[in-house]
Amino acid sequence: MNMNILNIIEETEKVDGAVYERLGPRRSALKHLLNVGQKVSLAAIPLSLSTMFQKTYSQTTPNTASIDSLNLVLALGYMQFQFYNNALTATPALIPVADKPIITTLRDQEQAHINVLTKAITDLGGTPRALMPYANFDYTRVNANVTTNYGTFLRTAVVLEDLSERAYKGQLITLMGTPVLATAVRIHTIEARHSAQLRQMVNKLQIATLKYLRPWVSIRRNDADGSDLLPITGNDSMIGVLNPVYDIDAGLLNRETKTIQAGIELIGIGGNINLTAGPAAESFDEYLLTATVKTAANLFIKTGFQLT
Amino acid sequence: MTKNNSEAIAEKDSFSISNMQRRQFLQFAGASMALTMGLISCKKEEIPATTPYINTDNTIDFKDDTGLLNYIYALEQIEAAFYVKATANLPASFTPTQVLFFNDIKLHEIAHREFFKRFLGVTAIGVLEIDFSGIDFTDATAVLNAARTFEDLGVAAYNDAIVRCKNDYNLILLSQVATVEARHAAFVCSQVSALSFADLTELAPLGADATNALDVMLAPGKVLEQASKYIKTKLNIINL
Repeated sequence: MNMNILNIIEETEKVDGAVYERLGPRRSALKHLLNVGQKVSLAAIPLSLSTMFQKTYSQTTPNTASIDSLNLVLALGYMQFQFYNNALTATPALIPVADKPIITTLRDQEQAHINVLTKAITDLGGTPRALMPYANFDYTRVNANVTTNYGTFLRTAVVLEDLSERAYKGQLITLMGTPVLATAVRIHTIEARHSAQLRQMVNKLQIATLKYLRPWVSIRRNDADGSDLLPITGNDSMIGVLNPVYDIDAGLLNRETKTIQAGIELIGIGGNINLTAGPAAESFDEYLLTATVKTAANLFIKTGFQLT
Repeated sequence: MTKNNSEAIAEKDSFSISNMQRRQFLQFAGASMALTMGLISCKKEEIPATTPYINTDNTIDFKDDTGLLNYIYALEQIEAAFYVKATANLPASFTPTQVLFFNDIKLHEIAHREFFKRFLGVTAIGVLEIDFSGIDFTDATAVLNAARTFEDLGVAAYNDAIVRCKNDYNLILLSQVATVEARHAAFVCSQVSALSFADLTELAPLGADATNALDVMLAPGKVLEQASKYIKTKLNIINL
């Protein structure tokens, strides 16, 4: 049994050279365990050892990576909340009466996410980022008429939701093995629901270049007949400056128009000839990693308050 | 289950190496717990070499990601079959936009089904026989309600599976599909009622939390309780 325990430590050292330091006060427990091995039930040892390691790695190391992840998406929560809240409170005439309950739901759910994230960061022993007020943001990237034109307002909201959904996806691996993973996953499908709802509302307005906008992130389509606009370039918001929201991380292939997943081409897969570039790209959403999320988010944040 | 292709490797490398190492370690530490149950030995020479596994009896073994992905593959087979049947003859009251989007969803679900089939390879369950005899495909409300059930149940299944995933690459792949299912769910729900795109009070039975605006999430056992009535093929579900 002692041999086996040493093997575990040895293997551990290969992936974490600092294992002995991390074990810290538990080193004495380990010695104790090795010494008293014969006195306790052999079957109990691996369980104790496992518990000790779980404690060492799950709880006693400061989880700064998780805290940073949550603070990143918290900024996007404020970005969305302030956008909806300003429309509802400062320019209420912008929103048709029939749509008010929808925009209110979006605003309230973003507020709930801010609350959940703030609590999660505090629970991890971190410091939640300070509240970001409306004045920190610049929502004019789609068009400067964002507070007076409902179509611009909805299109801007779509981009913010799509960015947020991708940003969460990019943080999931960092959160793996923590209780916060489930929270992030469940928020990120809500962001996808928001985007789908808003995209439908944009579609209903039949704005030029967006007459075939889908509830799912897609490729550009021809206004005339809805056919795929080939070759595939840019993003389905039809606004070039917003490319960072839908494009790749440097050196990767995770553009939203991607049709090959895990090396498997989805166009025409299984002999399905109707699975063209559009539906193939739509069928998977893409993650976006921290650096690009900041670049994309900063499109909507004023100088002096940008994410660094 | 991670694919040995350059794309997969490049993507894996893009995530934090230190986090990856921590997780590898947690898995290793977790493995030592398995020893108490007599499953494996922690002597490194005795860690069994990976032997090729071929799924011949529709086994969904939840002990690892292969089982988890097969479970998802089964659900995708149901969803794809539903939309293939529904779009073959959509109710006359469907608007052109509804027809367009239902056809989109059909293609997405086919893409998901075929993707998981290819991804799982010889470890995949077979093609399942699906039974929709309880659904009236001529009735618009019945079609929309069934679609809604499949999509919300799908999101709940994916969200739970993501959290159960042991391999980070599988986790990301599942999350990539989860949000597409959520987009479907929002669209289909909103066809029934405008505010249903994210009505989390209504979705509480599937695990949604309205107070914190957290989406649905349901364990495989609960999902299968609702999904199994559509599957005629006998599945060998173990370690659930």
